[in-house]
Amino acid sequence: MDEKKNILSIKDLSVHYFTVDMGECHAVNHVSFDLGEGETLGLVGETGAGKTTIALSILGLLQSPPGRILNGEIFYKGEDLLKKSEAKMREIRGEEIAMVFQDPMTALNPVDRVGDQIAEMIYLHQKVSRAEAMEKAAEMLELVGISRDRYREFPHQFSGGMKQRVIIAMALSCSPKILLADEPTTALDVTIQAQVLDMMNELKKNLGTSVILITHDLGVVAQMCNRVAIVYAGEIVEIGTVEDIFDHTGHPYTKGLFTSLPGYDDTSKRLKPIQGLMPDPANLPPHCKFAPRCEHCCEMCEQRTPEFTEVSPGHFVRCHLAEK
Amino acid sequence: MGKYIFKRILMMIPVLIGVSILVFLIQAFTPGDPADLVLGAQQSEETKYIWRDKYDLNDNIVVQYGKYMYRLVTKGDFGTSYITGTSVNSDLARRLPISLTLAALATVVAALIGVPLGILSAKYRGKWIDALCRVISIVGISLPIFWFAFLAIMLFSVNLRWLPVSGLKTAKHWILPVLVTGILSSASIMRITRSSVLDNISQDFVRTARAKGQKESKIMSHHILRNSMINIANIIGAQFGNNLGGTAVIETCFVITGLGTMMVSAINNRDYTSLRASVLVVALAISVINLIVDLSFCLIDPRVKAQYTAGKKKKKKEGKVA
Repeated sequence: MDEKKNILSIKDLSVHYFTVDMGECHAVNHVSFDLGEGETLGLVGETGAGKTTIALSILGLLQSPPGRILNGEIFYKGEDLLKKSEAKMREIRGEEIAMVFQDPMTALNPVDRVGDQIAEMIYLHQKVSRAEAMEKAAEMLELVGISRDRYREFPHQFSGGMKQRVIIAMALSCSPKILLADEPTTALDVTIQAQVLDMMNELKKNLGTSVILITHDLGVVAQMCNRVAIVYAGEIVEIGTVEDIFDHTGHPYTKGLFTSLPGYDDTSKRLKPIQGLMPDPANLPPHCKFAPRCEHCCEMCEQRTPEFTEVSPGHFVRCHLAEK
Repeated sequence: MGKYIFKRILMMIPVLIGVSILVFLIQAFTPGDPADLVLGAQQSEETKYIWRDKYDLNDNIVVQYGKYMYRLVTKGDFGTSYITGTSVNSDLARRLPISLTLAALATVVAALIGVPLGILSAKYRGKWIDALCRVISIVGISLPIFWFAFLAIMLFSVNLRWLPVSGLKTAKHWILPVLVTGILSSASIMRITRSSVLDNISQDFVRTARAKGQKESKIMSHHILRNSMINIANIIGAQFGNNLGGTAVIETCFVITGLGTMMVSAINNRDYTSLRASVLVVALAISVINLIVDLSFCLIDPRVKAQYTAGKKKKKKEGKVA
């Protein structure tokens, strides 16, 4: 492992949703990972794999009911966030850990001026006057490439990409230590995606923020991340540096993700998608969660839960094939 | 904006004309002769004819309507009451302020009770406090107002002797009618507030506000409530109209000489001039309330306002008459 200090470390986090019609959903199961200072960690996985639930758990914003954190610890600066009071968490939210939400169309308050929504965040966490907060908000708008003349406009007057930039400006306005970016580019078209990602990279460099980037887009991962965690059915099945994941892929699921993508110099006519569907989170396979869809599945996979094996320093894979 | 208001005021005219036609039609289809009621059925046809002539009642209904509207529009004259023989205008001037004040005070009471309880109910959704509020609101919506009014009179005026039974002489007289109307109409406001707050409480922008580290109380007042205000303003306006139109019952219960009792006695006595005047005035008042409510939407929601201002710009481009 490299000697960088970990700013956030999650240990054995399990989150279940208790619903009436579907029973107990195992959304996140025994997830552990660390986030280094200034590092960008990608959380990659299918829709419903539990990525957003992990992010919301960090901020303590899980809807409860139905969600409940069953066990685990989330250490930030040596303190367990899960044990903190609501008032303490309010101080951390926004100031220390900020989040960029998935859908820019609905994440802004439609009846509030765009600038004021940013200023609200600044006013909450910094000891400044209202006028100073507004000035700072205008500066943040300019930072994300929006003219300060548009401070007094409303979200409906902005395009999707601009709204997403406003949300990013809001998240970054208090220079948080950690930014949780939940699919920040999914709702945007490709040209805007590149703009937003470039901007996030730029800001990350200037502010030294650590980022957890939630996405299902491996292209974005390659462009942005230092390390990647592959999430499947609420478990991390593989974690490692971008090189580990892309060049020394360990887990059959990760391999499946890559073969599902059209390659740049790929001559084959057809893509090779992963067969089958994500398992029902209310009824997960008992051992390896991926076994029913895995083409390397053998007897052992259905009898014993695979260990999280370190195949090379810092590169862990949860698969019997890697255990040897 | 000014243009929009002007347009809306113009649109009130057909509504009022429609109401006046309806009131006239009802009169045409109602059996019985007002002359019989006012003069007594045993009077000679001739006397009745002369009396009817005074009020244009011998004319064809269309001619009557024309004459009535002509006097109303040119002189603002609502005519003379069949029963008292005095100008209806002076009756209106005396009674309208009473009914308006009563309805307005009741609506204020209703909003002061309904909005906070609705918020509380939504905030503690599924808890006992929510169940209680919902039961109260269902009861409030289903209770007949006269029954509730008599219950209140029995308790506070007859048994406890805290408040006067009827009339509107002093401030104390106002308490019961205002509270009775207000409490009952708060039930609808509570229901709408609750459902509208619940609609917004799970919205993404609320989660964004939480992620900012905003306090729950501020999230409610600043984010959720402001987005619910359109529905709340709408129901408060509707309840004001309702309270004004429904004054007949409450004024009868408390023997208040307002617009409502004027309407009731006009119907009983076939006093068509008084009836027309009171119905038209209530219709006008409700139209004005609706206009104010619609305009308040512009203040609440910038998207609504944008429609009007954007409409103006578009009109120039497209040459479309808005």
